[in-house]
Amino acid sequence: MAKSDIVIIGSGLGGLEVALTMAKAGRHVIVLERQHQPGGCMQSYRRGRLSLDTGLHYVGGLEDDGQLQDAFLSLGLMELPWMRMDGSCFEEIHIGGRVFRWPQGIREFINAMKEYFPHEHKGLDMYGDLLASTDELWMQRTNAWDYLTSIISDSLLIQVLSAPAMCKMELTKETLPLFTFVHGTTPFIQSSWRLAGDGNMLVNRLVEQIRDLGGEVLTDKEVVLLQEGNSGITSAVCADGSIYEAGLFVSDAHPSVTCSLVGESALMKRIFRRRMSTQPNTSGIFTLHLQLRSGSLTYFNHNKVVLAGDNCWNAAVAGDLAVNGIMISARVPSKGEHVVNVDILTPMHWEVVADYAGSKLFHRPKAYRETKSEVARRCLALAETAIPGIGDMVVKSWTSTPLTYCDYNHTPEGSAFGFRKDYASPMMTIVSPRTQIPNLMMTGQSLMLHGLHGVTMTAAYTCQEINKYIISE
Amino acid sequence: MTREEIIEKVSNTLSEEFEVEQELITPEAVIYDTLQLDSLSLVDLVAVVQYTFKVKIPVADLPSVKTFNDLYDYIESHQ
Repeated sequence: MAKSDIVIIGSGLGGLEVALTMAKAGRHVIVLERQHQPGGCMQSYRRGRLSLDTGLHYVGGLEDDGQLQDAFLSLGLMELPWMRMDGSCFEEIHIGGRVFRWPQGIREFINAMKEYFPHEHKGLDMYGDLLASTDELWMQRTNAWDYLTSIISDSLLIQVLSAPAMCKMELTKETLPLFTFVHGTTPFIQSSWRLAGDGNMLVNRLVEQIRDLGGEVLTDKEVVLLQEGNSGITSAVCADGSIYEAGLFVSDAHPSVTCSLVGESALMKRIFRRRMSTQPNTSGIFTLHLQLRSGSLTYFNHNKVVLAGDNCWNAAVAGDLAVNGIMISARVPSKGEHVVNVDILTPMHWEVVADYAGSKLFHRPKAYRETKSEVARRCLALAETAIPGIGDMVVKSWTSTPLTYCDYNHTPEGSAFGFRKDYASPMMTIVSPRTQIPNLMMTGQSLMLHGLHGVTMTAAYTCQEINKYIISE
Repeated sequence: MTREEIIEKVSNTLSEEFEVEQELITPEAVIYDTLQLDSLSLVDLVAVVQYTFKVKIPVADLPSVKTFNDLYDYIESHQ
């Protein structure tokens, strides 16, 4: 039986960030990861000579005084080879044969939009103010779609302002809080960066530092039970029979999974479990990874966002294979000026793949493979409008779906961004790191904010709650 | 739903979900004390009411719901 100060269940970005922060504070931490490889959504996987990413494509806010820079400095992540994306165009948006380019910098961005939409000066000034707003409470209680349509009348401009968010959040007209929209937009406009490498680079940097500080990150350790004593959790029991005792436990798993790990409990009420297991989840993401013929495509230092029609909101539809929009991202070449790996992402509803849940990895039914092929074909057809001839450049391709997320990351319904936030019910959908069990905390994308930035902010908040608990004890 | 039905359903549901004796849920009893609510589990009360009665209690209205009688009134007037 192993003992430590803090046991962390799950080695996603949030789990590793909490582990490192607490290790730096002098605590002995053990991270237990059910998979063979740490990293959760940040992990990369190898196919042939390529290392492919599902969760990491670009980040925002790493400039001096940027929203993420301080956190990344303290986590040792600024040492990684971040490459700033093109200042004059980091998002290239294709809608109905027209192309709109987003420059970095809020003022530059608003001015560029005014050039495209000179009749929307007033609305764009209000949008600029919104991007710089810090009124979190108001934004959490305001519907994003309603607000955008109240300040801007040109429907095309609304799509131009929203399109890059399509693969960074679930653009749901009925529920999306303005806060989630702004949080997933502003840091990227301030500055956008790609990692010259894969997501594993980021994961490995965190793991190395945890180990250097005496902590442990153990893989193939699936926690199956959190055992409760008189006043809290006493130990985490793994599927292989190993037991880890600690004074404090932090779960980076989805909250419904966390609740399912807690056995008979005098502390965790039924309603809490019910709330965590019935809260709606956001939709997933389908990714088409392409290996291109050597020298066939010059690297582009921006994302290309292509809409099939004129609407990117409510894009993931249950049971519908339609591809309403895509984001095309290029991996920074390790040498030369040509790109080898391009990823195409599109929102995908869980219902599209739900019938195949329960099938084993590498042994999926033929119908699932056909579904993936069809969606991939549609993605590639749409990509042709932004990169003519890309189909002929493809040497090999691989795909991942919400089912992949579900299997690898244990995310219910393969949700890409965790719990769906609802402007009408912020109290219900923004979840505290604390649980009814005093020494069981949570972290990760379902709680407050999602994405690399959001998970990092949430991890910092979880650490604050941990410190409060430690002081109170 | 009649007031009697609301009272019976509140009593059954809250005792089940918050794991307290049904006898403790009386009209004059203070909800926070009876259900041992803190800032964290207050959300669970809102959730139970929303799931069971399809009635949303906004944060601003919570201070006015102190006793179970207040809760019966709130559900009755918002259903």
